[in-house]
Amino acid sequence: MTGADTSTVALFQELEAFYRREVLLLQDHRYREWLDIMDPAISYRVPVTTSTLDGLVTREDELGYYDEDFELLKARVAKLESKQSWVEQPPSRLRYFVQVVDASLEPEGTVLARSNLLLLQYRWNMEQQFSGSRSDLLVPAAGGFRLRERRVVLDRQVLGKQGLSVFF
Amino acid sequence: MSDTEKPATLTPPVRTPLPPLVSADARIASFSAGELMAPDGSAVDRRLFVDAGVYRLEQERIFAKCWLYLGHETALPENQSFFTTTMGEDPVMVVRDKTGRLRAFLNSCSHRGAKVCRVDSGTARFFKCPYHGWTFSTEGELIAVPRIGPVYGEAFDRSLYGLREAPHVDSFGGMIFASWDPKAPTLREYLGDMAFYLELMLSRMEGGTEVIGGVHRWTIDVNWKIPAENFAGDHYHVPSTHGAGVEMGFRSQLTNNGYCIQTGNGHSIGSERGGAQQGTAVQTEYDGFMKQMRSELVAKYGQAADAFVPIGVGTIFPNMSFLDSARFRAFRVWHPRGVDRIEVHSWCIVDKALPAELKEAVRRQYSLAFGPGGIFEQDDGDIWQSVQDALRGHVGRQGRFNYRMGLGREAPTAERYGPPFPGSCSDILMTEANQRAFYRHYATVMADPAP
Repeated sequence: MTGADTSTVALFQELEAFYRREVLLLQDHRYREWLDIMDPAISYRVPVTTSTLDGLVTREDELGYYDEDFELLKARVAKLESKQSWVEQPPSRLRYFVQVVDASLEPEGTVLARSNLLLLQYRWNMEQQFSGSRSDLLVPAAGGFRLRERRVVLDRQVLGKQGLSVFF
Repeated sequence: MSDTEKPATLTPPVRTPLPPLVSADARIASFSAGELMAPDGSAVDRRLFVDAGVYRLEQERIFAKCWLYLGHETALPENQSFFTTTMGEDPVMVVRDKTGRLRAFLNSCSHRGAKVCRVDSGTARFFKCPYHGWTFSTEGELIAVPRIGPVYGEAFDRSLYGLREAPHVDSFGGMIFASWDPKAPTLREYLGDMAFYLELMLSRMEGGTEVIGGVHRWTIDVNWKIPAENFAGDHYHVPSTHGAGVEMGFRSQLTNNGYCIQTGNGHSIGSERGGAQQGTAVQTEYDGFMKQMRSELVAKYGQAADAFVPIGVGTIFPNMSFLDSARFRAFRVWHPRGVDRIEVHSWCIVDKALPAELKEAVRRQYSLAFGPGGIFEQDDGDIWQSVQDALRGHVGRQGRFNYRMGLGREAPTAERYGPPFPGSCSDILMTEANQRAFYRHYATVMADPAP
């Protein structure tokens, strides 16, 4: 194995450790702990897609399904923690599948990682599936990475059913 | 089932501009109106939300007749811009034509019906049907037919085969509406006294409003009237449905201090004092801006006008609703997709003159609260679906919903807030006066003409 290969393998191992942890936190609804993997400067966006004559487009200054900084993410988590958060009473069963498809080392030890996301949700009165492409910017921190930036482009255009209550 | 349906004897006589009482003998689909609702709207039969015949009649008498909201003018920035949407279940393209005129066409080829436009929005000089290639201008004319001479003959008259066009398209304060009814009243007449309140909401700052790009779209498995009547005047659901939003501080505990106003034609608004979404969590500068707008309105109309910034939550009959809250302003349409399903289209509107940073903050507040994953929206949708689920069975569709809250407390709005404020108004916020007005108007529109 060459040196370059060794570092690529190591990077993928580190990334997979990060995403394995995140998958567990998300599908167990441990959102308070999920916030701990965020960098305080997090920008977390799931933009709407618009179908145009030039194909599907997303824009930074347009609406997002999620359009969050750290404070807004914390507000969402606080809401979901309430016993009166009916959309998750009883809680959904969630299954996350994350596949890292590309990664590159950037200056200052940051990493750009692209992954495929498949999420199955089974709620008391409905079920639905989401798939999409995640692009993450991760920054090195004690004990692994922190998430600085996430863009998720969902494959569906009309966003499925009511009561979107999952994170991507 | 055991509703004692006293007629509206408590309601003051006609000085309040309420829609007419429902005549029990009128026919609505396969029912008499008396089977479907109490004359004053204080009870509504569960079958109204599940009956396929009623739904089909709604498509004809409501969605092919009433003025329906299509979108905001700023979504069509230049000539030959377009976007696609639906009017009821009918797909339409909304186009600013070569001369700048707003038009709405059925998105269906006049030859064999395929959609001639299959994207959400853009700019185009023409629309070419993918099926056989018939091509239409932005004015809806059939401008090209492949092999026209050899297959149709030289005498073929293209002018007979333009796209089906809505006879009336008009806008109010930047909001585009259309009607399929050649005999429709003007948009201004249709909005009636609601125009006064819409104007308060849309002309706060010099330059008017603009829509933030992108459309939130999602489905809810519920009859379209359930959300339409909720936005018309259901403040009573807030403490229970949105208990989580109160608990985490995005909004304060609801009080009974506020108004529910209906202005006739099924249109209504309501607001607690100071507007919905007053809370301590994740605040923005919008608050200061609203205070400024409030003092300007008071200077114009007197102290009572203080209550009308923001204007509140409302429904423009039949299926367009808005939410002008202490944190943002949103518009949405509940597009029917069968008797038990809707597709929601939702937008965030801001004043053009607002600083760019504040526009961005307002956009995020709207998504956080009332986007498809909004911390308020998610509980509404979940509960509305459970309403529809519970109406499907043989027993579940029997009986009536109760709309008696605040019955008989309506009086002219001007008596409480002064002469410029039209419509009728209750002296408490938590009343079902607006829902009653919605269903009384609904019955008027749906009933067969008297023989």
